[in-house]
Order: sequence, then structure tokens, then C-alpha cells
Amino acid sequence: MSSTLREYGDATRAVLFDYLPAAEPRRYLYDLVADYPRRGGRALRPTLCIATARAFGTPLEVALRTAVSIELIHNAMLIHDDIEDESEQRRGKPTMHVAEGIPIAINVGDTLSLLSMRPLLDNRHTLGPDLSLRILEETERMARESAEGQALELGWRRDNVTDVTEADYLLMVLKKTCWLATIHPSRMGALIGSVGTIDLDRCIRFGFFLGAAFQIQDDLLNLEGDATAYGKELGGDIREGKRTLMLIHLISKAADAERDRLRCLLGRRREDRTESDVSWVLERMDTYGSLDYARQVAHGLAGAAQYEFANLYGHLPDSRDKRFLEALPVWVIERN
Amino acid sequence: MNPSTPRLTRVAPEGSGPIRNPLLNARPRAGSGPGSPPDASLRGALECAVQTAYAVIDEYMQRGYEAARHSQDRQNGTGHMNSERPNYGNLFNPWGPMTPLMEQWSAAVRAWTDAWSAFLPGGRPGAWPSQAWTAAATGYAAGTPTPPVSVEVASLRPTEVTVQLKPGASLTDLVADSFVPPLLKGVSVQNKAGRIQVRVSVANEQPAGRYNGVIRAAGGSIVGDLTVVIAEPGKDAA
Repeated sequence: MSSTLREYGDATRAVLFDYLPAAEPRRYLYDLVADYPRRGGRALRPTLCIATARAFGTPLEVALRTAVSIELIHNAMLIHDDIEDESEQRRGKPTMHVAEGIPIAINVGDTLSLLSMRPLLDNRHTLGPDLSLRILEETERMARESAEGQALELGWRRDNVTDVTEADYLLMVLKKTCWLATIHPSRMGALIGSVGTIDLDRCIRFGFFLGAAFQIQDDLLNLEGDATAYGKELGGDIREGKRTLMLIHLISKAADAERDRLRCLLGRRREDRTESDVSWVLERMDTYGSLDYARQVAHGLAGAAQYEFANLYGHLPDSRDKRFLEALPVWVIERN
Repeated sequence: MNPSTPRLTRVAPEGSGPIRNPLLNARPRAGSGPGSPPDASLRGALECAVQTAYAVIDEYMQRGYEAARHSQDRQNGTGHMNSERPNYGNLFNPWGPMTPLMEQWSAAVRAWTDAWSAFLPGGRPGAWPSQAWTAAATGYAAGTPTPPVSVEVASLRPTEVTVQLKPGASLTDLVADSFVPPLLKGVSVQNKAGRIQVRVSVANEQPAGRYNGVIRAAGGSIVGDLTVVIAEPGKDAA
């Protein structure tokens, strides 16, 4: 797993920086545009795209530009997500808006989004116009789904919605996380690898279960992971009032007085939630088994992803890339 | 100790490899709190959560199908569904099943064009620019057939013509235009008694390159696209 992520991540980054202009204004834009991509990361999204294409027998370079675009969009969204979540750390360093201010950070994120289109336009030299256009269409759709998912989460927080069900949460995760993280990369790899002949609907289920398991594990790491390895502030999700599966479970299990206290806590502004609040919520989650519950759900969803993988790609010949895809559901829930 | 008394032994357990798949070996953390649910109820909760997830994704996709069907109905001005999975006729709709058909026609037209090019002065069979790999079989059936397409190319240089038509579209009063970059002249598309005839006449002064255009039907609606790739003299159309 690690070697594939490293190889395809390095290949993506080698091309990605070619698409970041070395031009003015540098101090306020183009030096900053390169900041988040330089901080590294697992490169899961571009790797998923490339590995899927390669599992069909496609050369790496054919899928590379699409992978680059995915990684650029991902970094653009991270900048905006950090603003929306009021996060203070990203990959072990201050977030863009903390370091440079919100206005400049928004502009940098916008620019990264725009720059992500160029590799897709350049696809026409490799993939031909019709496949390239389809990929552009798909990218538009992915961006829209991601925005809708983010809107749900932000709206729940703003309006202090506390009756979010598990189904609501899964739908939000499907849109906000899965489309960019797993569904779109998987679909694009399959689209390129099958030269446009595969029914892309079949990729959605695999991507959804994989992405949902990934998100829940991410939320668990936020509460109990290793701070250095995780790269963000632990307990930050509680401080943000993020509607995670653990929080939803806790709200459903808590006694009336505890639920009232939770609602009150979630209704406050982020800066008004204290360390003591975070500790109390964590302790209640532990008491009611919310973390264990979420862990079990993540395991179940990863199992469903394995099942969908077999349905979707079982007919492909054995290869390193097919084995990588097959191992992903386990990897997403084991990672730290 | 009496040396004659045999020591009690236990049959050593059979060696087995470690269970690497945590999906089979998941256990709740120890000390997970008072009243922690036992494994059985956790498994029940797991199954319930997976069922909920399937319900969410199935409903989501059903809504997508409905939305796409309504969109198709608006485009065609009809409410008829061709099949349980609607035939999304939009050329650029990624949900549609038309792509396998488009690829088949595209491949067929390339073959015809290659054959024509070989008979022209200086012509050589062309090759699709970059598809050096073979796409894996997907096992998905093709969609509704479109009319047969014939392509005539008159060119002193190797020329590749690719035609893609939207299945089910009305193919009347066809015209190919909006080429990028602009094509000087010499492209016509006609529907002759159910057979689509494409004629491409490449002027000697037309610069080499790739020219992407659209095919329009009566009323100006786009029903396909047409690409002309003109090679430099002495080179393949790649």
C-alpha cells in the first residue's frame, strides 16, 4: 500500500507543480498556491484514480493529468474547508487563513480550483476530445456534490441542528467526502481505463462505502489519534461542533439532562467552547460507547466496500493495482 | 516428583497465521464504559448501519435516475421511457449508456478512414493518436443502434475522420460546423435514406492539425461531433 501511494503520489506531484505558475504576484498568490501541495499528504485521491486506470491496463501517464487535477481541487477545498471549520492546523502547520488571513486564503483556494482545470483541458492531447469532455463533465458534477455536502454540514452547525440521523449523516458524507475522495477518482480511473465504455454508476457504491469508512476513521482519529501523525488539533471536531457519527450516537443515547447540555454546548460559538467542554463530550462518548460504535460501523462499511469491489472489478486480471484497490477498505480503517 | 507419573500435556494448538483482516477480527476496546453493549448487539448495530448505508445510496441513485429521466423527457418533448434504465440521449451525459455505442461507431469510422487513406496519393493508414493500450472488457452490452455511417475522404495527406452520433437523435438536415480551429471548407454530412454520408474534402492549403466540429440537425440542435485530423505530408495522422 505505502509503496503504491508513494509512487503514484510522487508521479502526481512531479507534474502538479508544472501547473502552478511561477509568476507575479508571488507573495500574495502563487507562492501560497504551492503551499498546501508542498505540505505533502497521502495522495490517496490521485493514487486511486491512477491505480484504477492501471488495473484496466492503462499506462500511468494516460491518467496522470486527471490525477493532478483531482489533487489540485482537493488542496483548493482544503483551504476553504479550513476557513469554514475555523481549523488552526493542517498537516502539522498553521492553516492558510491563520497564516495569511481569510481574504487571501479564499483567493488562493479559488485560484487552485481554477488551475485544476488546465490539466483536464490538456487531456485532449492524450485522451481525445470526447473522453476529455466527459471527464470535465464529471468534475463539474463532483464539485457540485461536494459543495452540497459541505452546505449540509455547515447548515447543521449554523442552525444547531441536533436531530441529525445516521441516514442524514451518511448522505452528507456521501456528498461532502466520498465524491471527491473516492467516488470521483475511482470513476475517472475506470472511465479512462475502459475508454469510456464502463457504466460509471457501478463505481458509486464502492466509492461511497470506501469513502464513508474513510471519513468515520478520520473522525475517530481526530478524537483518539496521535497528534503528530494526524497533523490537526485533536478534539478539534468537538470544538467545531462537527456532526460526526460519534456525536450523533451520543445525542441519541444521552440522558435528557446530558442532551440539553450538549445542545447548549453545540449552540455556542466555537471560541466559547472550552477544553472542559471537549473533555466532557469525550468522556460521555466513552461512557455510551459512541467511539466503539462508530468503529464498528466503519468496519461494516469497509466490508461492504470489499463486497462492492468484488462486484465491480472482480473480472479484471490480477495485478498490483487491482490488489491495491482490493486492500483499500482495510487500509482506510487501519490507518493512523 | 514421581518420575514414573506421566506429566499432563495438552495437545498444542494447530499453528495458524495471524488474522490480518480486521473486518473478521474486530473487537470493541476494553473498558469501553459501564453498560457497554455486548458483541452481539454491536454486530446487530453494524448490520443495521450497513443496511442504512445501502438504503441511503440506493435512494440517492434512484433520485439521480429520476432527475436524468425528467431531463431527457424535457429535451425530447416526450414522456416515454425506452427501458427500465432510460436511454439518456444527451451526448455529454455521463450517466448514459450511449458511450459503448459511440465507441463502436468511432472505431468503425476510424477503420473506414484508414482504408480510404491508404488509396490516396501519399496516404497511409492512420492510427489513433495515443491509445496504445487495449481496454479491458467490461461485459456491458451495447445500446440502441444508430444508422450506418459512410465516410469519404479526399485528401493528399493522411487524414483521420472520427464521427460520433447521438443515439436516438433525429438526424435530418445535417450540417457539420463550428470547427475549432476553423476548417476552410469541404465537410458535408447528409442523411440519405437512413444512411449517414460524411464527405471530407481537405484543401491542399489546409494546415495540418486537429479540427473539432459539431454535427447539427434541423433546428440547430447538436446531434454529434466530427473530428478531422490532417497530418503533415509524409507523416501519419497522429
